[in-house]
Amino acid sequence: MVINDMNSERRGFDPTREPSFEKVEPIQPPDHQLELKRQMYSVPGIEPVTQSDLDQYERSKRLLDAKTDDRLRRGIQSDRPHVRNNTVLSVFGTTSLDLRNTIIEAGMADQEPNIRFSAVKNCSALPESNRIPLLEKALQDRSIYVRFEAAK
Amino acid sequence: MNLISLLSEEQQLTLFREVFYDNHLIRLIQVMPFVMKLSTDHDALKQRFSNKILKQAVDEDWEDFEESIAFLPETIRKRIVSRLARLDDVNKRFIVYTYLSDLSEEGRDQLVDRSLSDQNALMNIEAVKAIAYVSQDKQEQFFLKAFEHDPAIVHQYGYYFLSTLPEDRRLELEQRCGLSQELSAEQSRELTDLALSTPLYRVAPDAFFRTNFYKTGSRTTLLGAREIDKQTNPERSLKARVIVRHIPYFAYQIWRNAFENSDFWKQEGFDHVPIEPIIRVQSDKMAPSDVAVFSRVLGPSVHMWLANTSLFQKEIGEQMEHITASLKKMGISHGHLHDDNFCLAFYKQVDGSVDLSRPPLVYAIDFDQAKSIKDNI
Repeated sequence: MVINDMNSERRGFDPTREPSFEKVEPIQPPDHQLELKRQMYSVPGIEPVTQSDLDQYERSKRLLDAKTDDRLRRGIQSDRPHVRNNTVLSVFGTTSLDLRNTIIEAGMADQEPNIRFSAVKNCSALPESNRIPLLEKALQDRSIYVRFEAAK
Repeated sequence: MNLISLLSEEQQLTLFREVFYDNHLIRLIQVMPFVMKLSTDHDALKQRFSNKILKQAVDEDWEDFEESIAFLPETIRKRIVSRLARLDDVNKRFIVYTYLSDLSEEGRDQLVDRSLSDQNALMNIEAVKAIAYVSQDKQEQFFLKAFEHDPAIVHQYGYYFLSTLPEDRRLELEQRCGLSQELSAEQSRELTDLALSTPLYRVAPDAFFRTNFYKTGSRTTLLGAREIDKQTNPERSLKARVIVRHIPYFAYQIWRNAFENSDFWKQEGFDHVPIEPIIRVQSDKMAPSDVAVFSRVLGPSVHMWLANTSLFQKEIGEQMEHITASLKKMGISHGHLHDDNFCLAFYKQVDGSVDLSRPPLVYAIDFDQAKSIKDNI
């Protein structure tokens, strides 16, 4: 049965035509993942975490990540031993194999034994082919702790 | 990778001898599993290592000793634990509580019994927490002994044992020791104030916008409400209060892994991420190896809360244990996960007041010393 709807006709709608849903924008289902994430990050007693909060964090992280290689390059050249040590310990923060190599090699050649120790401890950041020659060299280190860590 | 296994037996023996004569207990412990793999021709060396470790463990104090002995072969660890349990040195006996399962039942009974009347409150606390692991016929006797010695400690930590009892026995003991709690109006007001407080701002002036907070380890900057906001919104609130933690980049990486892995926490049965919430992060101006992490200020620390009340102690304790075990499962060593580094967040009612009818959520905070667990091995 076709209902003759005057208003539809006025709007140029033909009630006899087969309905077409092709052009209708589908309703976006609620993003359960995002909703779950917001719930998981909301702290009782503090206003709920919004998408904008999550976006702000992601943006700041991207900015930080973009500067990470530069910071690590400066860090390993620092004249402050604790900065060099923290840089060696942060070697996994870069995906650049060249930079990882630079940091671990500089760490292993450092005059401070604790930095050499950290470099040996973190040399799993390098592929095995780069790692083994460095560890073999570390087995000759003058510090027993470095030698032991290399052998472990 | 383990280069020791790539060394010849002769090279291994040279290394082991160096470690042996270096007299560094932690290195001795670390090398011991490899020494034990030597052939039976070297049983005498194994015995010498074992004796030296035992002697140093008893006679000397070493940082990281407590964690290190976990990697010793079980037979040697049991010898050490059993020996430490009989010492007068409180610090050494304290370590035994981490390895209670290595003690015989008789050994546990003796250790707990002795610790319950110790002059050291930390020993009393550990003993109360361990009552569930002594012989069944001694448990209630020890619980009442603990209550007689220090009721406050039983109020705070008694739930470790009480939660293992059938309900009728638990209620009877709770009633006997006055542990069941109905809040008076005044207590409720005090606890509401406490629930809104935070350990961070105790040392800072009331009116401030940015101030450095002196804590052990890394530097923290407190950001507070501006004076103008205080005038327009004088209601005491933690909202909009943010701290900046200046920490090494590698520590941030660990914190970030723990914080961002919401799926892991969900799988572990949490309906929230129990990690200090990160708001944003940026490079630190003071050192290229550090970052400045902006995080939300939560409520009181567990230490602050339990020092004042036993309300929700069971729920708080369970959450703390769950978080600690989950972090370990995730491969993260927090570095200093004590009662001051767990903070609480209380639910609010519709009118904005604190809801003391629901247990708060517990969060692990302060990841400045966080490491991957493999780093400790």
